Amino acid sequence: MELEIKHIYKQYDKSKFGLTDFSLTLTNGILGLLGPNGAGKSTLMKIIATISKPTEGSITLNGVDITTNPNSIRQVLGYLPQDFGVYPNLTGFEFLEYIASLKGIGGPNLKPRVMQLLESVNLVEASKKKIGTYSGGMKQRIGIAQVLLNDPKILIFDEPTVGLDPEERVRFRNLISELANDCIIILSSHIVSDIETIADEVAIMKKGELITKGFQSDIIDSVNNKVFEIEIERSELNNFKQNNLIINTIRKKDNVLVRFISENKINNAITCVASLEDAYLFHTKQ
Amino acid sequence: MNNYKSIIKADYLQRTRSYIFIVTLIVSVFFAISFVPNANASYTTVRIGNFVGVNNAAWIGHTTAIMTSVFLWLFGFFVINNGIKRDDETGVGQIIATTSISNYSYLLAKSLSNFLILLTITGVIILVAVGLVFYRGYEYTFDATQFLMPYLLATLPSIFFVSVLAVFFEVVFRNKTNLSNITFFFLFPVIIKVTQAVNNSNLIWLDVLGIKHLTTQITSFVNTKATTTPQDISVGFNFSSNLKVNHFLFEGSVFTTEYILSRLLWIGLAFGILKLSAKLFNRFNTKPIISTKEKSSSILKEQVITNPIKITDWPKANIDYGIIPLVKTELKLLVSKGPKWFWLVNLGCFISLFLIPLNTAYEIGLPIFWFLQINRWADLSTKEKQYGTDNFIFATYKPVQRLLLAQIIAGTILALLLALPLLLRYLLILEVSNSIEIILGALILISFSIVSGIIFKGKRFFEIAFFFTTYAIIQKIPFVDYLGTTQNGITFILIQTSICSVFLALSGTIRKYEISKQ
Repeated sequence: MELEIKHIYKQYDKSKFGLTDFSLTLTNGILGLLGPNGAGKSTLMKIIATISKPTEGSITLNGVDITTNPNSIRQVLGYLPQDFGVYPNLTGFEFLEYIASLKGIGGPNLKPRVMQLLESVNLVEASKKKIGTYSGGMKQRIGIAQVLLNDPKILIFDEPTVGLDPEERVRFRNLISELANDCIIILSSHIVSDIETIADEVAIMKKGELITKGFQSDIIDSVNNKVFEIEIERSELNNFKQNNLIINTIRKKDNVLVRFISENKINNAITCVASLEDAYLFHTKQ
Repeated sequence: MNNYKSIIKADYLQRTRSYIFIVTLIVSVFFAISFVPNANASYTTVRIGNFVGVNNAAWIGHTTAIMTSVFLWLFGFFVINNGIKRDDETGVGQIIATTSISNYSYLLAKSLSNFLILLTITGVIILVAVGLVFYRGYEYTFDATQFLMPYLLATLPSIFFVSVLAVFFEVVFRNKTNLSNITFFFLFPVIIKVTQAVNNSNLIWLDVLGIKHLTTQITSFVNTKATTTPQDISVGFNFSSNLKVNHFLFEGSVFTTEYILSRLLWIGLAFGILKLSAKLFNRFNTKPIISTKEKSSSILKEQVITNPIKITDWPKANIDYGIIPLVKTELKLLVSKGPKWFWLVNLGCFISLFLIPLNTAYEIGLPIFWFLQINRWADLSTKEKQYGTDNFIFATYKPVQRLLLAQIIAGTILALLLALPLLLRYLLILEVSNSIEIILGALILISFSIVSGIIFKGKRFFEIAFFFTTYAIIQKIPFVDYLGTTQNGITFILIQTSICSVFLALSGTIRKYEISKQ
């Protein structure tokens, strides 16, 4: 399975671009999409999910252009949008049956499959309750379950862990990892640790452009020996911020412990092991 | 004062920067022109016996102001009755609830915003009417007082009252829009009846529309200056194929102190209703859709199950592109819309379609019965956007061919099930043509609800248009009669089929375009 994105542009008006000359080739595995708000992650995902059309460029799945033939990908697509709703008067089970019909799934295996899915997202007990009674996290899990109804080969998750508690997030990661062997999975999240633990490859976006893409280790390598920690007085913090790229600060009794990125080591600073979050901030804040 | 200004401005801009408002203005222009029939028209709007006024400023000012008062009560209510609901749906209400603004101030601002919307429409009608004075006019002099005073004294207080009434309805009915619409549907004829029953000499105070004084003045004028035989006035679109009318030169009305005071009284009463609304307003503390008991029990059961996930054990999904499951779910969504007790009302209507005289059942019973389901029809093609399921539903396999078709089939099945008593009665007396017209009427209704929902991306247009259509059918106005209650025969069936085909083709084409151009 190969998904090839070639020179995609998404233009909203004369000066506003959602995506600019975006190219990427994906094969089976999990791609984590990182980027600040407005980077174009959701736009890219909507285009791959055939919800939106690019202004220019093409996307092919195994050689078939999905921008002109969207139904070719829809048959093997599972998509969880960032903002989605549900019909409050249907039960969880009925809602999944409805989405299954829309996806063209039926037959005798449908009910057991829906039940398995509900179990996998911990909603068996609530499956006969109307979705109007569900909490935000439960609705999010119904959204995750509908993605998997049709044995999808392309899975797109836009901010899937929003509203999930830590235990559910772990469960979600396990579920995704199991699917990754024979599927293309694209996952966006603001929580870098989610991407760090699940994704094989990471793509960082900024202002509609692809900044970098590669295996996590390669991306982290780009900031190796550039991440430091130093304890400074609180009064020095503003001045320090102006001269260095700060990752985070921890307030101590009188001082502040600052984690920052710099090409050169500063006196008294300690070199730290770089993380994906460091690399992400390095690429997006530069 | 600045706070009011900001709220009113924001609300006004939010509403006027929309498709539907532009359409509303276009429709208003159309109505304004139709309020002053041309010389060859086969209808009248204000007629005293067989007398109509010569088109001068006084006559056009009076007739258009009278018609605008009626029109904006009927039409305006549906245009403005969603100000609070929108704040609730968008979540802005939650922010407003935490601010220091009082209920009264908030509701007053909403009422004034409603008023401003209706005032804009009135302004458009006045401009068109001024144009008509010169275009269809008898003379080129312009008596501004006699032209504008009816608007000032009849229309403006009338639209102010309906602006407050819309807020009151929103407060009382909260998110039960369907109930609010239906209540207003039945309230309006009562208002009109009261207006007609009012005797000028003593009960002028009961006329909220403020038109009785004007119609009485016109009638007196005719009865004293044009004819010695007493004539009655009729207001509204009166169609007649062989219309012969006499003309008289209307010079204007006397605006008595009593009349002016009666109008001020209605404005005062509107403020009283606003006070009451402020007491009843829940300040966006909306009840959950499902009972608290059910909600708490479901949350209790939200337990974490730690079974390992074995995807390989899951039964494989089978391909099935049939639409029957979709039709079933769409039907379920249609039926479960609204409160369950409303089905008792529906049962009563269903049985009454068996019992009431056949013609009454066809001409009044069925249009009203279908109108009572307005929320179900309006939901058909708008629920994806309304509930936010559009993003993943439109990414499924062939959404136009499968989902849209399922929605049309489900809607038509429900409409025909509701019309079943009437269909059976016509089939029993072998009136096949009427049965076909009802079936095609159901298809027109469903396809119109779908196409308007798709084009206007919401329910408002359909709600307003369906209200008007139903009202017009009951009033026997022929050109909106989608059910064939005033016309029949093969030609009419062909017209119905064509309209239906156009709506269906438009629905499919526009939805396809909408999905492809997102």
